[in-house]
Amino acid sequence: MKRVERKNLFISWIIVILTMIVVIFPIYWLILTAFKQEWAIFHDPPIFFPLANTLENIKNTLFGTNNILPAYKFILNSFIIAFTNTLLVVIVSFFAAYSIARFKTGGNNFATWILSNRYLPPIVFVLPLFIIFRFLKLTDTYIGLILVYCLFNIPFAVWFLISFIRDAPVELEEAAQVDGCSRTGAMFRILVPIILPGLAVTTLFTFIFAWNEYLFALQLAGNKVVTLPVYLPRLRGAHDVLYGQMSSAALIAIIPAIILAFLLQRYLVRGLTLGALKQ
Amino acid sequence: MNKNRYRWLLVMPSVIIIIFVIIGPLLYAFYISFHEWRMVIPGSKPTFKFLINYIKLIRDPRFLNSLKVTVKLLVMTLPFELIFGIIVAVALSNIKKARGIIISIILIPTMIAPIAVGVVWLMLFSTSFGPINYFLKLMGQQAITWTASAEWSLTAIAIAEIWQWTPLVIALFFAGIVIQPLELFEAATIDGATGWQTFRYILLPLLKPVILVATIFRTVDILKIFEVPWVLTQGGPGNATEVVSLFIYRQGFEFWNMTYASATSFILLVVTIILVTLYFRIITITEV
Repeated sequence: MKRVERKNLFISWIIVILTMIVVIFPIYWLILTAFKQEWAIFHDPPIFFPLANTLENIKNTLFGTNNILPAYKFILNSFIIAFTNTLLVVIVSFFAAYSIARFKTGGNNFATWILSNRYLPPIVFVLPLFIIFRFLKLTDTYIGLILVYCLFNIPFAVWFLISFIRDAPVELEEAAQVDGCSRTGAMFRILVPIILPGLAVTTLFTFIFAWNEYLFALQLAGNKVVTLPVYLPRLRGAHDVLYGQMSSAALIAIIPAIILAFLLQRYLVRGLTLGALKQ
Repeated sequence: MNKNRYRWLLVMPSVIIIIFVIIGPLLYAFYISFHEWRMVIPGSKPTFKFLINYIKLIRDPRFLNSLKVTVKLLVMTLPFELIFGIIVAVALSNIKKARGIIISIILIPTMIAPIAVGVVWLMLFSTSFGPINYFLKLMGQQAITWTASAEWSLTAIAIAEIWQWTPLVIALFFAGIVIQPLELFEAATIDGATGWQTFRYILLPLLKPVILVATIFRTVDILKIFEVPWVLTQGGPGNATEVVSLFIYRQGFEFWNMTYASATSFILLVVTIILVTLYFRIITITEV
C-alpha cells in the first residue's frame, strides 16, 4: 500500500513539474529576450541562459529612440483606462449585486442574463460601437474605452460580488436596521467591511481584464489614445520584428497579471471560471 | 423609501451602462445587418435590403472557410486540453504540498493578455532564431516556417492556444476532483480496485459535468479568438488561418462592408447564445 502511494506521489510530482516547465518556458524566453543584447537575440544557436544581459531594450522601450515611440505614454494610458474603469465597475456592480443578492431583484434569470453577456464575442460589439462612437464623438477618447470595458467587466463584477454578498450573513444587517440604521447605512457600515476581501479580489480581476483588452482599444481608439496592448504588435515592423523592444513591452504588459496570479491564489479558479463550479 | 423602488434604483446604474454598451449596439448591429451601406463612399446612407447579406453569406466561400478553420482549431485543441487537463488535475490532487503556489504558476498563461501570448509565441516560432526550430533541428528535423506555411500556421495557433488555456481546464478539473468525497476512492482501493479502475469507473463518471462545462467554455472561447491568429499569422497565408472573428474584422474594417460583417456577427452571436444557454442549463442541474 505505502509503496504504491509513494510511487503515485512520485509520478504526480513529475507530471506537475513537467507542466510547470512547459508553462514557464515561454515566459522565461520572453524575460531572457527582453534583457539580451542585440547580437545575443539573433545568435544561432539560440542562447538559453542569461549571459549577455543589458537594460538597453527596457530603456529604449520605455523612453523611445529615434525610430520607436516611448512606451511609457501607452503604459500610462492603459493604467488610466483600466483604473478608472475598475473604479466605475466595482461601484455600480456592488449596488447591483447587493440588490440582486438581498432582494432577488429580477429573479434568477436577471442575474444569469447579466453574466451571460460576458461570454459574447467582442467582435460582435466592435462593429456597431465603431459607428456609434463616431457619431457620439467618443472615438479615441479615454471615456469611450472606460465605458466600453464595462461591457465585459460589469457582468463579471456583478456576478462575482453576488457570490460574496450571499456568503455574508444577512442577520447582521438586519440587526443594525433594528437598531435604527438605515438600509443604505447597514450596507456600508456592516456589509462592506465583511466583504472587503471579495471587493478587493473583484477589483483586481476587473483591473486585469481591462488592462489586457486589445480589440476594442485597437478599433475604437488607437490613434490618439493608444494602450499598451495596441502598441505591442506594432513593434512587428514592416521589415523585421524588433524582438528586443517587443519582448520588453510584452514583459511590462504581463507583469501585473503575474503578480495578481500569486496575490489572488485562492480566488483564481473562481474568478477565471466565473463561478462555473462551486469551490 | 419604498423597498421595491429602492432595489431597482440600486441596479439602475449597471442597467443603464449595459443598455448603452451592450443592448444598444446589438440592436443597431441587428438593424444594419438588413441593410447595404457602402461606408467608403462619403455621405452614403444605409439602404434596406432585407436578407440579402445573410443569403450572400451562406454562399460566401470565404465565410465557409472561416467556419471550417474555426472548427478545425477547436478539434485540434479541445481533445488535448481535456486529456492534459484531467491528467494534470489528478496529479495535482495527489500532491498536498505547495498546491496554492503550483496553481498560481500554472494559471499564469490564462491571466496574461492574449496579445502578449501572441507576441511570446511569435518569438518562440521564429524561423531562424526561435528555440522551437532549434529543438526540431536538434532532433534531426527540418526547420519549419511556422507562421508563414499553409501546412503549419494553424498548428502554431493551436499550440499557443493549448498553452494559454489548458491551465484553465486543469483548474476546472482540479476543482471538480477536490469536491469529491475521499471515502469513495478509499473504499474502492480497499475493495482491491487498481488506480486505473478507480479513475475509469469512479472518478471519470463523476467528472462528466466538468467535461461538459470545459467543452462549452472552450468552444465559446474559440468562437471569440482573435489576438493570437492576428499576431501570429494575420489569418494567412492566404485564408488558411482566418477564424470567424478575423473574417468579420476584415469585412468590417478592411473592406468597410459593415452591414455584411454585422450579419456575420449575428450568426456568431446566435451560436454563442445557444451554447451559453446550454451551459447555464448544465450548471443549474449539477448544482442541485
